[in-house]
Amino acid sequence: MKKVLLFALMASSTTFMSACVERDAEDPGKEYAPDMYESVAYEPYKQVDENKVNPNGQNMRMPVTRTIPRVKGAENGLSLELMPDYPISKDSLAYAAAVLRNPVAKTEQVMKDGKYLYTTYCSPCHGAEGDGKGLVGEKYAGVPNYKASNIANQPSGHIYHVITKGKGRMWPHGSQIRPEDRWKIVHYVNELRGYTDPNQN
Amino acid sequence: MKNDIPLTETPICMNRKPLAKIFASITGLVLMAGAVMFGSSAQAQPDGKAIYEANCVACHKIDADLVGPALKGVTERLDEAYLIKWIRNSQSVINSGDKYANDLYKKWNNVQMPAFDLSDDEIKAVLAHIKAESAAAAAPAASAAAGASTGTTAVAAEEKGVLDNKVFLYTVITLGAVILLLLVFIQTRLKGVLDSKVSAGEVDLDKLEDRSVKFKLSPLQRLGLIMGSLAFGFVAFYAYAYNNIGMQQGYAPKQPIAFSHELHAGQHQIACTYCHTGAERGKSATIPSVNVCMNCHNQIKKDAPEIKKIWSAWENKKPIEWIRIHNLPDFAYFNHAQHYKVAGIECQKCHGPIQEMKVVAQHAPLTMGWCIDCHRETKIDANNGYYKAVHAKNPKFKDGVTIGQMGGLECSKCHY
Repeated sequence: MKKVLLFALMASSTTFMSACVERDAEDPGKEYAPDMYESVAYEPYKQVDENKVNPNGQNMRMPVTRTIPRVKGAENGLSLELMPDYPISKDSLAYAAAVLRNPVAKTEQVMKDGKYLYTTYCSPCHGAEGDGKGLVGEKYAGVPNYKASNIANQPSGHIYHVITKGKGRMWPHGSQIRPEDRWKIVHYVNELRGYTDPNQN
Repeated sequence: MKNDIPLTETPICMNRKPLAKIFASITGLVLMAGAVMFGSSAQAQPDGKAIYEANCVACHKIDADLVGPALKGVTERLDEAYLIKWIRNSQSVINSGDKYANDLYKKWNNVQMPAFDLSDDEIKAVLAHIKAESAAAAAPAASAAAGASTGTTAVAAEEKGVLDNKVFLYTVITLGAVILLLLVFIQTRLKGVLDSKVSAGEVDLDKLEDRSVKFKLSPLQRLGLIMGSLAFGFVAFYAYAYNNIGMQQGYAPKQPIAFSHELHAGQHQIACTYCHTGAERGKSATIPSVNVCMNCHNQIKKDAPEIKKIWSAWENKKPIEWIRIHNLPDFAYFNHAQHYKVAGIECQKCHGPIQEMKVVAQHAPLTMGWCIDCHRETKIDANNGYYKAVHAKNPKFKDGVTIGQMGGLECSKCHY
């Protein structure tokens, strides 16, 4: 009897102590009935087992090349300007600059959105004023000033093409920013470099 | 008060000021006439420094290579006419078959210097500025090398703290074990001595005074002890379960790449949504793909061991397997856009001071009780004429409307 009591006391005190001890940072703890925690269907950002069908064992897949997403308001076919990945190559900057027109009208709200998007996606390198002196830009080096003579007067399509496909040492940001948002950024960049788009009223 | 000073002063200077004004306007007129007569060349000298800083610093430094070569002494290496031609349109110089230009172009990985639409005078001013800077850069070179090695000490100190704790723990355990062994040893020795004495007849066990404590319990006491230890065990188990089962607060696993939010979001102030683009538009905040890392790290710290891992992922087309920290069970629905974009909640409200975390840890418990608490307390922003009018009429809503009152506590809001 004594031994049983002693054993019970010891067992309970060890559990109590282990409960008080802070869990290791690597240990996610236990789950009660994990079957209910994990999705049966494929989730893009969570998986427990390797996916045997897809490349890299991932649930996520790249979209099939040349597929075009359905975009609201584009029932009559998607315009070049709103295609997430339009068929103009990175090198054809001059062509893109001449062809692409900003489909987003300049309004107060668009400028507000443009500033927000610029601050999020561009200002780390290009700086809040577009002078290339962002905190990251200083380390990256080679970030131009928007007011520099070879940039200040480029048409809106130039800016749009550079955001989408990159230019020189700048990498493309098309995967992060939606076409409509890119055009909003173009509006804001035009304001920063003091450029008036002749195709906008 | 300050506005009054000129008023009192004017009478004193009365007879001087108009003269000065007239003189100034005459010189102004003369200058203007000069400007009209001689065209733009008579304008003030172009500011070489300003032009240099607006157009050149992005790619060039005086005393170090950047995107393009260091400019120190370039005015001595090359003559002015050649430089003007180069700056105005470098590609045409390269295309003309000039050997120096082509070698330079090849040496710098065929990165083309853009054409600059500057006048001769402006370029000359820039060159003069470069010359002056080159001379200035020759002098202070030795002082820069000294201030390089700090930084690492803080990390070392932190690691030492953890180490100290562990050393202390292990010392206590070893000491305890040693004492235990010692006691066991003493006890066996004593028993041995006693046994030998008993067998030798020197000591009569029956006559020894019994000093041991009597340990006898009544049945009721026994029951009480059993119930008590059971209750204690239950509480202990509950405490353990509460901290461990389905609770991942504080989970901070080692990631495949030692990415620091403190460095990126804190020091460099990169917006959360630059990488986590999904937070504004969908359920998941999304983990950035490798190309997003490469947007900056194709240049920055290319040779650091952790950055090389990004490069190898990029070159081998093998995604980085980040370990997910914030997990909600599949039966609970959560949407980032609804909270970040619609409600305008800061990321830090749930994720904690992420801009200070070198290693990300789960800040919030992410339990249902935690969700519900916030839904009960947080008032919605009914910034809408119709709802403002409706809420004003209902006395229940006079202090604002909480998410709970809008149905944010219903089971099917999150469980469906």
